[in-house]
Amino acid sequence: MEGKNERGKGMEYVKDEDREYDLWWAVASEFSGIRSVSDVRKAGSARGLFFAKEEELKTRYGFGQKAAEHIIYSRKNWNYEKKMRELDEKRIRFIPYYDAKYPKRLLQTKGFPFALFVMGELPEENLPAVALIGARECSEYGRSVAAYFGRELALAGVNVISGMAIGIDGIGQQEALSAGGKSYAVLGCGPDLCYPYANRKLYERLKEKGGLLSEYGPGVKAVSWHFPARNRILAGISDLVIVVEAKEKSGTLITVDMALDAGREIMVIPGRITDPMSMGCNRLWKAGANVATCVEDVLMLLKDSGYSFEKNADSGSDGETFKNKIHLESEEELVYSCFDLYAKNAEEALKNTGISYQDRLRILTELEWKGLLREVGCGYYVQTPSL
Amino acid sequence: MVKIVYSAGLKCLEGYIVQVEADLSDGMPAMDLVGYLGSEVKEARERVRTAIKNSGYDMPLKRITLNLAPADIKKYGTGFDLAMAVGILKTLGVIPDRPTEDAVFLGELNLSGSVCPIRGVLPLVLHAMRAGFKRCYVPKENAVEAALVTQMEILPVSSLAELAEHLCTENRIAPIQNSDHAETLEDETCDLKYVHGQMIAKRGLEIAASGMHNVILFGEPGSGKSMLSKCIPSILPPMTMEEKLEVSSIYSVAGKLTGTAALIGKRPFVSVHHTVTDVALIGGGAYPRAGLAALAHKGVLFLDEMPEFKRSALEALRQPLEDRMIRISRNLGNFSYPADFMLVGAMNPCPCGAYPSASCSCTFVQRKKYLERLSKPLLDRIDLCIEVRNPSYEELNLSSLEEDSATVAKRVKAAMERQFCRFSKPRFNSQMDAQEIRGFCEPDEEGKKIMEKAFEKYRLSARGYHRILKVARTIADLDEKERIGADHLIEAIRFRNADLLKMV
Ligand SMILES: [Zn+2]
Repeated sequence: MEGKNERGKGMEYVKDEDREYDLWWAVASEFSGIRSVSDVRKAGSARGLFFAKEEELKTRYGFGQKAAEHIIYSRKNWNYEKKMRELDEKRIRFIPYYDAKYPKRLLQTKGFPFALFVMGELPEENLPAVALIGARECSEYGRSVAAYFGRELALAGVNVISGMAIGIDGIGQQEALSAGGKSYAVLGCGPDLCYPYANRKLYERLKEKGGLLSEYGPGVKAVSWHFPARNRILAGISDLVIVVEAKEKSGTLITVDMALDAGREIMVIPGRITDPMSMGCNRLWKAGANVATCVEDVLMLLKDSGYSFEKNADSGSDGETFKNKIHLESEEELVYSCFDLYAKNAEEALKNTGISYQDRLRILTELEWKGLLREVGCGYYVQTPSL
Repeated sequence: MVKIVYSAGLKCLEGYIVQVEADLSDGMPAMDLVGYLGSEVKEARERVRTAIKNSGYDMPLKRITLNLAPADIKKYGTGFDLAMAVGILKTLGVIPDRPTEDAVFLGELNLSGSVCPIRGVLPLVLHAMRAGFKRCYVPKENAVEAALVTQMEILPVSSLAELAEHLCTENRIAPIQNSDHAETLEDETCDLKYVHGQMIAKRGLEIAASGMHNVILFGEPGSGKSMLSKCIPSILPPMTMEEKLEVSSIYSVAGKLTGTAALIGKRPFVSVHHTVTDVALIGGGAYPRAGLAALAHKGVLFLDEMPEFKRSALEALRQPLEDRMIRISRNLGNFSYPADFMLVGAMNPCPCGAYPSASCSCTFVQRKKYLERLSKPLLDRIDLCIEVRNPSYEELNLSSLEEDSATVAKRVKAAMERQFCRFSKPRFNSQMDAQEIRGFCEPDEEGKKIMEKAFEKYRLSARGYHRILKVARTIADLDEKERIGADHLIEAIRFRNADLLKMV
C-alpha cells in the first residue's frame, strides 16, 4: 500500500483469495462504461459486492435495478476455475490495479480502470510512451505523417500507443513495429478479439512485438460506448498524446479531453486551414496545444518530463525532417521536389520541369521503388517520409 | 398439288432457308399451319387469310395446309407471311406456277395486304445469297438494307397485290440498285483534336486501341471521360466490308437499322447506363435477343459510372469478354451473338469524385466500398487504368493544335498490322494466352530486371504480371520494336490497374 493516495483507503485485500472476486468483478461489471475503482470502494471490496444482498446493492452501493440484476445473475453463474482456465488458454493476464505490474502512469489518472486484461506485454515503465491518434478516414497527408511519427518515435525508443483502428492509429503502430520498436494497443473489446478485423495482421504483430490491453475480459465484443472509456486508458498509459488528423467534431477530440483530464500534454500536427481533416488539429493548436512538425519536437517535450534520448533531440529542424538521406540523381531530386505530402497529379506537378514523358515515367517508378513516392490514386503521388 | 415457295429464318445471326409447302385439298374450309412454329408464326393464319381477301382474292372453301420445313428448327417472327401468301396464291392458280426456286420471299403482312418491314433482313439476304438464291423479295422499307448484299437482286414489295401482279406479268417491280453509299458516317465532332490537354489519357487510349485492351478511365466528374471515350472509334482503323456487314446484321436483327443509312460504316459506340438490366446488356428473353453488348461488336462498350452498375450486370460481362461472343442457353438450344468489343469503363475516384485531393469528403470505408463494387474477376480483364484530369486553364486555352484522330489512327493501324503479322491472323495482344505471352513477350535484359523488381514491389499475381507484359507488347508495337524494352514495361506498369483496389 505504498505511495499513491488513490490506492485504497481502507482497502486491504491484496491477498490471493480476493483475486477470485476481483476477477469476477472485472468480468461482471460489463454493464458500466467506465469501470473505475470507486464502485468497489463503496463496498469495501469486490468480495463485498459478491456477497451483498440485492437491496444492499441498490440502496447502499447505488446500483440501478438493471445493474443489480446483472450482478446477481453473474455471480450465480460464476465459475472461477473455468474463467482462469480460459485466461490461461488464451494467454491473457489479469492485472488488477493493485498488481505491481499495473501501469503506474495509469494509476495516476482519475477513474483508472479496476483491472486490465493483457495479451503480450505491458509498456515498460521507464520508457517514454506516446499516444498517436487520429481519424479513421485520414488523408494521404495524415497517412504519411502518422507513418513518419510512428517510425521515428520507435527509432528513438519511444513506445507508440494507439487504438489499432483503421487509419492514423493503425498506420502509426504498423510503422513503429516495422521500425523495430514496440507498440501497444488499447482495445474496446476483449484482448482476444481483433477489432477492426481488417487490422488482423497488425493485431498478430502487436501480440508478438508489444501488447494488447483492455479492461474488458475475454470474449467481450466491441460496442460503441466502450470506445470513450477505452480512450481514457489510451491517454492514461501515455506520457503525451499526438493528434495527427481530426475533423472539427470527432471522436479523436474526446480522447483529447480525456488526456487533458489525465494531465497529459497534447501535441498536434498542423495542416492546411482549408483541409477538413486538419480542422480539429488546427483548432487545438489555437487552443494552446503544442505543435509537432518533426519528431524532435516530441522528443524535446518528453525530455522536459525527464526522459533522455541518445538521439540528439535538440537538433530538430523542420527542413531536415523529410529530407532523405538516400542519394538522388539531380533529375530524381527535381521530380521528388515537385511533390509533397498532399496528393499531387504527376502530369500537373511535372509540367514545367522540361523532363520528357518517358523519363518522367521512369523517374516516378524509380522514386516509388525507392520508397520515396507513393501512388495514392491514378496518376497521383505523395512523398513518403524516408527512414 | 403441292406448291413450294422459299423464305428464310434466323437463329440469332445464323440464317436458314425455309421451304414453305402449300397444299389445297377438299374438306372443311380451314387453314392448317405445321412445322414447329412459334406463336407469331401460328398467328400468321389470320393475317395471311385476311390479307389475301383484302388484296381482292377469294379464299377457297377448301382445306389449306401449309408446312414450313425443316421441321426441326423452331421458327419465330412474322417474316414468313409473304411466302405463305404466295404459296396459297399459287395453289389457287392466281399466280402462275412459274418457277420461283431461285427467289426468297421475306415480309410480314398486315390485314389490308400491305407488306410490313421485318427485323434481320440483312442477315437473311446474306444467307440466301450464300445458299445460292438469285433474288429476294423484301418489304420496301427493308430494301436499302437488303441491297447491301450486292450479289443479290433485291425486289422491294409494298403490297401483296403488287407482288402478285408482278409475278403474273414479270416486270411490275423494278429491282433496286445496290446501296453502297447508304453508310452511316463518322461523327465529325468526336475527334481527338477537339479534346484539349489530356496528354496521358490520349496516350493511354492510343495504347488501348492498338491492342484492343479493355480500360478504365479514372477521373473526377466533368473531366471529360465520356468525351474521350467517344473518340475511341475514331482512332480505330475503319472496319472491313465483311465487318461492316456483320455489325449491320446485328443491328438489323435488333431492329435498329434505319431506312436510309442501312450500313453501319463506323465502329459502334454503345453507352450503357448503370440502371441497365442484365438482359438488356447481355441479351436474353425466351427467344434470346441481342443485348447492348452485341450492338457494341467491333466497337466500344462504354460503361459510365462503372461502380454504380449492379454487380450481376458486371459479372455477366465476364463471359463475353472472355469468349468475345455472348452465349445464352435455352432449352431450345444454345444461342450466340458475336460481341467482340473493347470495354471502356469510366469511374470517379471516390463517391464524391474529389479523391485524392483534400476536398474529398468521403470516409475511408465509403471509398473502399465504392471501389470494391468492381469485382476482381472483371478487373482481371481490364488491362489499363487511365487517369483523366480536369484540364487546367492554360490547357483549355492552348492555341497550338491538338493532334487529330486520323493521325493517331495511322499509328494504331500500324501497330495492329504488326500484331496481325506476328499472329499471322487478325488477333490482338490483349487476346494472347499464356503460351503466346511466353513466346512473344520476352523483355530484353534491362526489361527483365524491371519486371523482377515490379514483381517484388507490387506483389504481382500471375494475371497482373501477364497484363503488364501484354500492354508492354502493344507499346513496343507502337514503338515499332521487336523486343520489349525497359521503357515499354515502365509505361505499362504506370498504366496498370491491379492496385486500384489497394489504393484505399
Ligand atoms: Zn470523395
